[in-house]
Amino acid sequence: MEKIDPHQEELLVWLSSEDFDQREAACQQLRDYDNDTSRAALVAAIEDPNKGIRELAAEGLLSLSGERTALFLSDLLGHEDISIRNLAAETIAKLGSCSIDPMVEKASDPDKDVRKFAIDILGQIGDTAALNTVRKALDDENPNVVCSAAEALGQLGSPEAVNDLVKILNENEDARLQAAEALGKIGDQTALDALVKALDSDDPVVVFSVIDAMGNMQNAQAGPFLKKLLPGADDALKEAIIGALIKIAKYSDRTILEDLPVKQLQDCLFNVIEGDNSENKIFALEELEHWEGPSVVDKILKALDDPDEDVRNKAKDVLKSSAVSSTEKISQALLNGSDEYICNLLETIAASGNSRFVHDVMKLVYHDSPEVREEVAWTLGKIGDRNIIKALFTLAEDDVGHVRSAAIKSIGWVGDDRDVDKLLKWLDDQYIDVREACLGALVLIGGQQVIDHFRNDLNHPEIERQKMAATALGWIGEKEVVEPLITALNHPEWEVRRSAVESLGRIADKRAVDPLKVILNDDNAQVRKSAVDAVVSLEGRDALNSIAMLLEDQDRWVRFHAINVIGSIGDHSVTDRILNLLSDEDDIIRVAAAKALSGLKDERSLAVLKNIVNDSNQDVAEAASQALAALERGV
Amino acid sequence: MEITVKAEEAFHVFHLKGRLDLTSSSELKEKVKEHLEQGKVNILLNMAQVDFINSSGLGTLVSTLKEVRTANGRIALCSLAPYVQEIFEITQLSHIFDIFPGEKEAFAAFGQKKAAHTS
Repeated sequence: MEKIDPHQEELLVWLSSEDFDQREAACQQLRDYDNDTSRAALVAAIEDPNKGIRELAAEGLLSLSGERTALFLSDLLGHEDISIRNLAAETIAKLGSCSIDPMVEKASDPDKDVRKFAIDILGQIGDTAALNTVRKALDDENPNVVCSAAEALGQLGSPEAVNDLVKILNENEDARLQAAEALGKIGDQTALDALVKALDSDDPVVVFSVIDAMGNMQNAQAGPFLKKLLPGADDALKEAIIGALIKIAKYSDRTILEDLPVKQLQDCLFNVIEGDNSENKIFALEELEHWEGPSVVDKILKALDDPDEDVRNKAKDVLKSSAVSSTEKISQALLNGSDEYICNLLETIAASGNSRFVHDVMKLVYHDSPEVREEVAWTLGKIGDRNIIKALFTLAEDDVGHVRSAAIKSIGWVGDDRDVDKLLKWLDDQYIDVREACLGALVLIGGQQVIDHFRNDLNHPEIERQKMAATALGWIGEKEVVEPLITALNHPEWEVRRSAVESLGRIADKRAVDPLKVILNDDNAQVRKSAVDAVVSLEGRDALNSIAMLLEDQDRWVRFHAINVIGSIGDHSVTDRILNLLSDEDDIIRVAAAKALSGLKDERSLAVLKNIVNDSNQDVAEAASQALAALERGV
Repeated sequence: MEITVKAEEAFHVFHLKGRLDLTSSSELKEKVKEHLEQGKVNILLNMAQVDFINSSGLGTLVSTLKEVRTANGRIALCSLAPYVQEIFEITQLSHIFDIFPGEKEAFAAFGQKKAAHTS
């Protein structure tokens, strides 16, 4: 006899109360007592007149430990009220594998309905531990139990049941459909012959079921048998056959679809797109990628609004190749979709680069949504037709910064000398994204007018603009920019000098070699550091003599950088000077020197490095050890 | 600039080497034009050995893109050096070109198109 907690006892009283709130509280709290008293009480509450209480009781039972709960619930499988039987069955199935033993017992119950429930539940649990019980139920005297057993065997998915199911398929008229379906689910190829034979059945329902099963088997060998049925089949049968072939194609052989009647195949692919399975939708969209025509585009356009992001992305990809031949549909869709839908569509138009859509896209320049306007700017730029430049300048005046930025970038791709004057004002925009977009557009357009503008900007009142000018001239990179950049090496602002140095290093014009060597002596360490890279960019190995003096620079970071660069050049002529730096008082310099020596591959370094492998600074000692190891491997 | 062309998979691959500037741009334009006239409209520019590109070079790439599109072809770029990548970012050309890390990736992305059905 269970000892009952006083509060649990009180809950039992509440459960019999007429007050709904008390009964509700009892169901919620009884789950805290994992004992048979709670089980019996909650099972009793499954019979409560109120549906909400019944559901709460079922939830409570699920939170109690399993097998005993299933045992208690199994008594309800023979209840006179069907809704109570169903709720009990559903709850038992949710309890999972711990319900197997009680259900195996109920599979021999004298009541045929209880046996049927037991077999249904065993199928839903899907555990092959119940396989023998379910197989045995195929011999039940009641046809409903046999049907449930065939269906359950499909859910269990065990190939061991194939022969039993084939027998049912051939001999049992009542359970033939369930057997065919189960064979399809199991997918064992040995059942193919039996299914092919069943295609000759006089019963159209059986034929449909077998066709569906053959599709589910995903076996390419089923293809020819299915195709043989196509001549003379009515539309519904054709749809079923092609639907099955689509399933086979998805997993085994896509070529199986190639010689099918176009209209039916297309309709089936459309049905798949209208369906619920995202994976199948993606497959159907992939197939439609090779089709053309307004109805195809219509379906793909619909998929752009699919709740599943993967399906929407696939639709976008497919539309990129279909967009070429579907102007009218796309024009209509641009006017009627949601903001996100229009953006997706614009993206596909941009990818197609088809100028046929220019007029439709330009109609959206004043769209309410800034996201759409931004996408319009990108799209117009990507279409790349000179006729749209006016629309892009309209978007460049937009109130929203990211719309302006997109429009200006697009002007860079489409524009030419004629647009330079109008573009310049966005170098002063309040948003940095817009200013940078303008810089990029001007670099791309290039030409004498742009060069002259940035040459003048080297003397702009604002340092930011001076720096931007020096950088822009480097990106433009034409011969005409070299002289202004050399002049800028004498600019009073160090940041402008540094930008000029970097630009000259990038352009690598020989006229800049001597001026850059001079600036290796600049007052500013950042400028000297950048000059090292620029001189090496122009002269390569020949730069060594010029930059070696910076090994003794007063600034540690210039010395550090010079050591690294010289180490990467790998010339023995500077070994002695680097070796001297191993005794530098600055740890960072000693580490850099040790690393550089491994790159120089000069055996004279070995002895000196050995002396510092036990350096008091751990980083120095480690760098020396690594350099030694590298040298011993390489010298 | 050295330009060598190889027919591979779905593309004619242009291997560019050196500086892509005003001087070399006309050579690239000419080679692309020759290919388009012969119906070889799918072009992959392998930029691994392009060590400098300026405004003129970028402009040439943009006009090449337009010409290839007009010929109903495809153009893609691959193996951009970090310096070239940087200028592609500055000018946002990375938005209008299909750019791949290497030839293999470009072939994989563009090499498997089939003929279209018409319904």
